[in-house]
Amino acid sequence: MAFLRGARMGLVTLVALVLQTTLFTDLRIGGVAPELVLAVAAMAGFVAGPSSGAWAGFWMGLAYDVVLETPLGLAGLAFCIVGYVAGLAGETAFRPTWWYAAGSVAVSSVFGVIVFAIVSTLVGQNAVVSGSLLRVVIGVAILNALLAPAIMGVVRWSYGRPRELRVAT
Amino acid sequence: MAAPTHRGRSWYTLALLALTALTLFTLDFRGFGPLESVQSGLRSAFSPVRSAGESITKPISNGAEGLFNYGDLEEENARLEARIAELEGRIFQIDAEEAELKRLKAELGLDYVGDLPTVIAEVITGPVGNFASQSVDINRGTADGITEGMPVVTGAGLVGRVTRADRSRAVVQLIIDAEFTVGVRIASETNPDEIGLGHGDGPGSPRQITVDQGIDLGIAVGDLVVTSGGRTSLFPPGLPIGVVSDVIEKDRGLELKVELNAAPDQIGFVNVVLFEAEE
Repeated sequence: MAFLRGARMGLVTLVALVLQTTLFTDLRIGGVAPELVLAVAAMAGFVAGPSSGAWAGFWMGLAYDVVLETPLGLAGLAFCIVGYVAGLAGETAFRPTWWYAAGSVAVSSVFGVIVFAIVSTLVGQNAVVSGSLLRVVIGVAILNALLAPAIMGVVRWSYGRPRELRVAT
Repeated sequence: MAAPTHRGRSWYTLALLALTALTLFTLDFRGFGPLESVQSGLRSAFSPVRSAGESITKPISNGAEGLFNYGDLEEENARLEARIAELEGRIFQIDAEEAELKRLKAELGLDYVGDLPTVIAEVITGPVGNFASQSVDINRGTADGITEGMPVVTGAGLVGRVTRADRSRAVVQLIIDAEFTVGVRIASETNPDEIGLGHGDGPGSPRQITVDQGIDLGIAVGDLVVTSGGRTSLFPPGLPIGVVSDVIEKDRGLELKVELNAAPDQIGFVNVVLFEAEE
């Protein structure tokens, strides 16, 4: 079961990476592109809890680092924190709704972009977050929130569990 | 009572993963060979998947581009029409300007890219997401003789350099990237050998770079800016960059704003100059 779940998440990550590096390089609104991989990592946390979210974010971040020019581990670190934070948000929801999921993904995305910017600045990669940070943060939060309902269905499929069965402990 | 244990375990997982990420980051930053080989292999494996994805998603992105940016396209159309009119008005000046350029070239002894072998490449994707530097992907790679560090130009001048080359594609860091630096020579009338260091201004200034210049030796608006070259420079001498559009006095010297000849944010095809800097 764990293998199947891992294979499904691997497939979802691959599709997210392909879409991020093809379709979403052109689809920019106000110069800001959605961060699909980040949104999927956040949703994984929301659906499966903080621990699973951290694992998913870590692997997705590493894959994103490989594709981007960023040092390996930079997105891995930021995205695993995002998955964890989104997992904490998911645990507080007794009856998760699409708008709650979208809000959690938006907040987690804000968190992820800021963590990414801070870590990259600390290590001298000042130009990593392109453009105005505030514009990118707001843009990514809105765009990722809009994508959240669709992502939720895919991530729930990959974990093989309906989200409604999990309640806060 | 189960919650604290569960929360504690997930916190432990997060800490472990964060430490692993930091370790990988440190190794990568120090240029750990095996890690770079693994990344290069994974990129090469991903490359055909991405190319397949591009062919599937291109019609969608083209359609969406027209849908979402219809207003921008109308504006762009009007701007281009105005530009055509302006260019038609200027066409008679071109001969005179070319003659002037030839005279300056002769005076400065510039070597243009025509003397060096080049590879024509198509720009296939722009910057990925919001975390990548200002870079584009081109459809030529090591199989075509392209290696890291090679300059990339258009007919109008320098637009960037190759920062990563896989077998069939390469990544070009654009000249406007804030981390891009290039040694420049400013051909001022009083002193044609002024040397400075140029750097990109980021995506907010897609047609401009800044040159830090220590001493004011008569540099004026309109002076030509080219690559300085040099024994260890990544660029051959004399690649056109742009013209000085503003001269700002600072405490530490001059800051020159250089309007680029090329338009790095709107390139479709480029030439990679097969020039390798000396070690």
